[in-house]
Amino acid sequence: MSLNTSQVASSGPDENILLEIKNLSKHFEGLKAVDQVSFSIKPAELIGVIGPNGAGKTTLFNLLTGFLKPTAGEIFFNGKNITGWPPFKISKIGIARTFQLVRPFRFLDALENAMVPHIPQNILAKSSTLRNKAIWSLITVDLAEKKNYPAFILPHGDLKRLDIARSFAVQPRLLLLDEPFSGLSYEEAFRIQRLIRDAHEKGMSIVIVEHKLKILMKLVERVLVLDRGRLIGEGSPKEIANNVEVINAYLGTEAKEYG
Amino acid sequence: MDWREIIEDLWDDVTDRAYYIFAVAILILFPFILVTPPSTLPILNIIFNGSRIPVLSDIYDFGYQSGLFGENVWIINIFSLCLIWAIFAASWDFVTGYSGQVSFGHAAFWGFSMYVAYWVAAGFHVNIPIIDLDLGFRVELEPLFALIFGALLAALLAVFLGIISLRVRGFYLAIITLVIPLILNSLANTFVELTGGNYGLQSDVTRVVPLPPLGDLFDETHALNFYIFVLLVFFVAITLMMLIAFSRVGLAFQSIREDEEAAESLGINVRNYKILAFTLSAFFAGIAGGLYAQWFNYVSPTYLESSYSFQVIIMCVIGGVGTITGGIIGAFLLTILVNVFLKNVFRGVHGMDMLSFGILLIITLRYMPYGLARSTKDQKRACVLGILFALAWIIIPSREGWGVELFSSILPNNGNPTDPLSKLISISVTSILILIGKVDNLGQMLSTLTLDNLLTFIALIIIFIFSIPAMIIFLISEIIGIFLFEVIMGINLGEALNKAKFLICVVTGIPFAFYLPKIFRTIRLRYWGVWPSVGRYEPD
Ligand SMILES: Nc1ncnc2c1ncn2[C@@H]1O[C@H](COP(=O)(O)OP(=O)(O)OP(=O)(O)O)[C@@H](O)[C@H]1O
Ligand SMILES: [Mg+2]
Repeated sequence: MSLNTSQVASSGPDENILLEIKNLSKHFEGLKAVDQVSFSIKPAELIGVIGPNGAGKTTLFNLLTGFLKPTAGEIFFNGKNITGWPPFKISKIGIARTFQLVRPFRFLDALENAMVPHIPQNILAKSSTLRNKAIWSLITVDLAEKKNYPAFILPHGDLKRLDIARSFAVQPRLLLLDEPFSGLSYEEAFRIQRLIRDAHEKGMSIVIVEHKLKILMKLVERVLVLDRGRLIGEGSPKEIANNVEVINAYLGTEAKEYG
Repeated sequence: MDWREIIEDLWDDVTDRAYYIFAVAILILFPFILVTPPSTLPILNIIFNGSRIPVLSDIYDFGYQSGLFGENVWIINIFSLCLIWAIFAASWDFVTGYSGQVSFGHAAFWGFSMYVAYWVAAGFHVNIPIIDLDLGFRVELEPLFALIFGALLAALLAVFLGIISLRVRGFYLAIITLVIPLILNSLANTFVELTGGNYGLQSDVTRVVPLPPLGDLFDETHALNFYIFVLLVFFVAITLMMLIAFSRVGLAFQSIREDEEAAESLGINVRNYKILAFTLSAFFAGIAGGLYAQWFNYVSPTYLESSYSFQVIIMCVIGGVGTITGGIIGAFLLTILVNVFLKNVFRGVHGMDMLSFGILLIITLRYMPYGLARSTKDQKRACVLGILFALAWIIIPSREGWGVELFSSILPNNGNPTDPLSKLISISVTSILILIGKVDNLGQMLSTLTLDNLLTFIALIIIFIFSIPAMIIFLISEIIGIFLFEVIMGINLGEALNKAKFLICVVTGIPFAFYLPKIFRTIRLRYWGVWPSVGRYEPD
């Protein structure tokens, strides 16, 4: 599979590649937060990104979604060079993200939170359509009965799902989830796994950054490993669990559990 | 349903809406009733069958007799001023409360619009001395168009400034906006040919409604005409602002206020929405500015000073940021406070307005940090009751035989108490008796009711239910008032006495009305345990 990918990539833009990153770097005054990273993502792929704290995972997401401008390198989405685009434009062509910490619109209620991503899609839509779409996004994450609760009183688990509902509402082809399971109980994490699987089955490409490897390794098809900004490993969860460099950098003796 | 639940439900959303309707009714009716004898207004004539309008005309009578209102025309002018400030405050709330972009320099837009409106209306003759360029054409527009044109140019200025300054956020944006009016101010002082420099510009031409020169502002019909015009503009402007704020555009603004990056990640074009909010806000601020200039018939660089920017912020904070109605409430409160009370009570004392703004601001931020419009049910009730106490306190003693006529048949001592206090006691006792159903001749009393005194009756009931605390406040505030003004400050209140009393009564009444139920509950729990007929323990 991976051989195939590189062949296609060399022959220019292709439907088989959704996102392609070439030698992407981001330096913060000497600190190489992301250093010469290249990889590509196919449509309907479920990918995990792992690495120790400060490895540059969040920075990578910020680069992909336009919140940071890369120091060097290029990003192609659907064959289009989107390097340096502003975030709202990147969101419009189909890349959505969530943040590492939940970021709801605190003084708006759940329904209004879910309405916001629908506004830019069609600014002239009927308000009933807007509401219905928002309610539908809430139904998909089991939040419909709390639609009138202001976000600041919702518990953490609900907020995590609200964040995901909002990012689904963008109707992305590529979804970047930054630690979607952090701070969640087993049941809550399971609900989110189900959401991710459903979305993946419908053909969405999803990239998940996560430290909870027990969950992640069973969920994803392919894993990328970052360490100090560099991509040090790439492969199926099984391959990664046996990769010596990855074991030294991150997994340690736990590695066998994921093998 | 428990009666206490009923009373508590009095302050729900529906009641809030009722207050708004009531406020609109007062805005529309009140000035007319002040100017025209009520019985000559045709519509009211039909409704009230040619007789006096019970509550409103009574309030007017009392206000006039007790010196609370002063001259009628003056209060209409105050109302016009309130409306103008309300538009201005709402426009600030629109940009800061809704889209979260803190503006400390809103005076820039209203001052700029004033000048533009003036130039356009006066026939702007381009003659810049330095370049000595006489283009030789005059743009002459009707004053109404001048008003809109001024606001449009203010909006254009906001687009320009927005593109430059909205890249920065929060604290830095606040600093930049603070500087903008200062720059305009010094420009206005520099280009004296255009702006009249420190002396400003003065002419009749800017007036939409033809008004006589400033001295005749107290002419009834002129004041009323201008008031109607301002009222119309106010309704249009506020409706537009509300429509935008409650629409999806308003939702996008709010999402930017809550979390800029999250909004941007969901596809909201944050920069453009910010500029849009800034522009719309500047437009309405410009409208307010044009009206203000017309009200004073005068444009000068003082209107660009930062005290105007801060005044409008204080109004919004007191009223409640992010609500639009909050700005309106704050504008009315402060404008009336300054123009009706402070200017009378502290005649000739400078800086009282800013001092009292500061005190009000501190009290608001301590006790209702989200503003009056978002205060809790208890606080709203306390405000309403406090004002009712104060009104009752002024109105009831000021006219003999008022409630007594109405209640003469059922009063314990045949309705002939002479002094106001005993009158108050007997009436309140009677109305409490009526309320708890202990009066035998209720039917007889009801048979004397006509439409004429029904409204008066209802108002009386509301006031008298709470008349016992009102009496306590009556005494407290009298003592405080005399002590404060006559003993400590040595100010002889004279004419302004009633206004001062009203003010003191509001100030002492609101906390009292707020704490009374709590005190009562505490005492009840300590000495009687659970109240037998209530049977419900509420820890509080
Ligand atoms: N805006 C910034 N300015 C300067 N340094 C930054 C900035 N953002 C991130 N960094 C640095 O870049 C490095 C990578 O940070 P990043 O947040 O991407 O790590 P991460 O892999 O997401 O870690 P974690 O697992 O803790 O979330 C860190 O050393 C961080 O301090
Ligand atoms: Mg991170």
